[in-house]
Amino acid sequence: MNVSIAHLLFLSFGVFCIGGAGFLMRRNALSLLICLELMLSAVNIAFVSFSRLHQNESGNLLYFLVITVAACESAVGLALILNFFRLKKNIRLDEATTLKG
Amino acid sequence: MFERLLVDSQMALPILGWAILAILVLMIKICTRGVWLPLFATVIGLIGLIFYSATHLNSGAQDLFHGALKMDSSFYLFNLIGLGIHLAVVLMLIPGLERTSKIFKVSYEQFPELLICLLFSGFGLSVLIAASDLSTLFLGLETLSIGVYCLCGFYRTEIRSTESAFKYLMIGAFSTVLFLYGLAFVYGATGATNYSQIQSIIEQSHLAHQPLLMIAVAFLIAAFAFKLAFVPFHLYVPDVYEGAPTPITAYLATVIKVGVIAAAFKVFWGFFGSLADYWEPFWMTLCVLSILLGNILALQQKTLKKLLAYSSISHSGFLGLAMVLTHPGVGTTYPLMAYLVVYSAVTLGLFSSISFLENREQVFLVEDLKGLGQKRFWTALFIGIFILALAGLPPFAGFMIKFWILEALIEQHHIGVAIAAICGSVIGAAYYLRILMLMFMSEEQGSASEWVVLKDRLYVLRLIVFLAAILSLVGGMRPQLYADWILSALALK
Repeated sequence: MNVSIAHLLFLSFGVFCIGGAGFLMRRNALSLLICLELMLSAVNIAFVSFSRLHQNESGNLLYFLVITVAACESAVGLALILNFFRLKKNIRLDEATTLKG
Repeated sequence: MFERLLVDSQMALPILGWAILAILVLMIKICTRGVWLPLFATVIGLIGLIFYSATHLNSGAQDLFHGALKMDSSFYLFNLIGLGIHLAVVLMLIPGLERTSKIFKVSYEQFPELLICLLFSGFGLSVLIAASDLSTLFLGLETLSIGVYCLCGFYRTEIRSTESAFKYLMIGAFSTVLFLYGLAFVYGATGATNYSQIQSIIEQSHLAHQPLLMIAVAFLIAAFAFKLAFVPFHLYVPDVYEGAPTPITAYLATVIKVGVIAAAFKVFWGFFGSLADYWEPFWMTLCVLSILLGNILALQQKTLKKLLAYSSISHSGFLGLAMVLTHPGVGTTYPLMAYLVVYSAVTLGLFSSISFLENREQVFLVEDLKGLGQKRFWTALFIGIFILALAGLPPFAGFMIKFWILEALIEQHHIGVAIAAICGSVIGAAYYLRILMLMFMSEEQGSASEWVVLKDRLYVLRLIVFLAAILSLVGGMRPQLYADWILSALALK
């Protein structure tokens, strides 16, 4: 079967929607980080498929930048989750209510 | 090839200077103990960079690194504002070093790391401002944001600070993803990543109606609205501002707005210029909503920092309008620049006064300010000046920056928007004046007058407050001075 750009874009959009739905519905901080990674992968699929469409390398270059930055973001996110866990003894977002009111 | 790189690096010193300074402070931190040497290096380095930027204000536009960065006169001005804010925030953080309570003791052991995060964020800011390629735009925004996530969680033994950092990270990362998806569609529609190439492709091949570009515009507007905290994307802002350390709240309220509005200015009037019919109505609606709802929601707030968060939401609405007014050809740039300068100065001054008064163990309620005018007259007086400047009342600079925006709005035939903005400001005056009444007309004493204030032994907080008050007073009395300075800095005069 021949994979066209449209297929890849639908794949990207599907992954993006799964990640977005998870981000909005899950309440566990780690699942949230995983959903963010999923959405970033969707972006990467879009970049790489557009790079193939236009026959130039800029999209592939952006892919590497996105991956690197996503790693940095996860590192900071995990550090903050650890700190949150140390203070609260859980990582549920429902418990993050100190600032309400 | 290599020589070109060397020449470009030398020209990009106002940008690379930030990173060099950050690495230098990192080295000092590794090699020595104590917090004063890194602090000293940071302050000296920032002053040096300010002088360098100030002397190069009119050095003309340059394309660097094969068009990845573009340094023009607006870059130097934005960068100068950013440098000034960084210096003020670093100075604001100093008195905290002498606090003795446990939260501060444990956190301030890592003060050099805080400085490094600040400087790397500043590097991100200058890359974001200078960006003229999708890759540098994205990298700049992320370098700025990741540093700020760390800064928000600086009081790491305190749950409020950690929670604010955590919320900011989640929302920030989500908006980054939206932003990136927008960039992916821009790239997909045009096949180029450089701003000028994208612009010429959109204009030449009549791509303006292409659905991919429409999706890209929608995603980018949402992402910028998240970063600038436009209503209805503002929900995280009050919590983040409330929990973050007060100097960092000032940083959030100023630096993020400078960087993101500069980037929005280059994106929307850069390569989306020919699509203005599509994005302008949406953008304007979001701005008007933030001015109106930001002010209305601020009326109900009980804690001081949340109130200021909502006030900053309404101000970012004004900034957004000023960005639209920079329309190349018919528009003017100086309302935007003047708004950034004055708003940043006033915000920094106000938050310095708050961090002087504040007692971190308790939430700072608006009611706590009761009767402050009798107990601490000077602090209350300066808070009053900044509050009036934020409200936009005539003898202060806050009035003329709003006036310039409204004037330009009417000149460009956006009369409905101008009326809505005026209504929003009038509603806003209610809660600003309430603070004044509490401070000067209340008979009772609120708890703020009993808290132990910061020991400001180096007079840094007083210096910032004093300079900010002068900036807002001079701007109100002689607005033409500001307009002339900005126009000459932008080489328009």
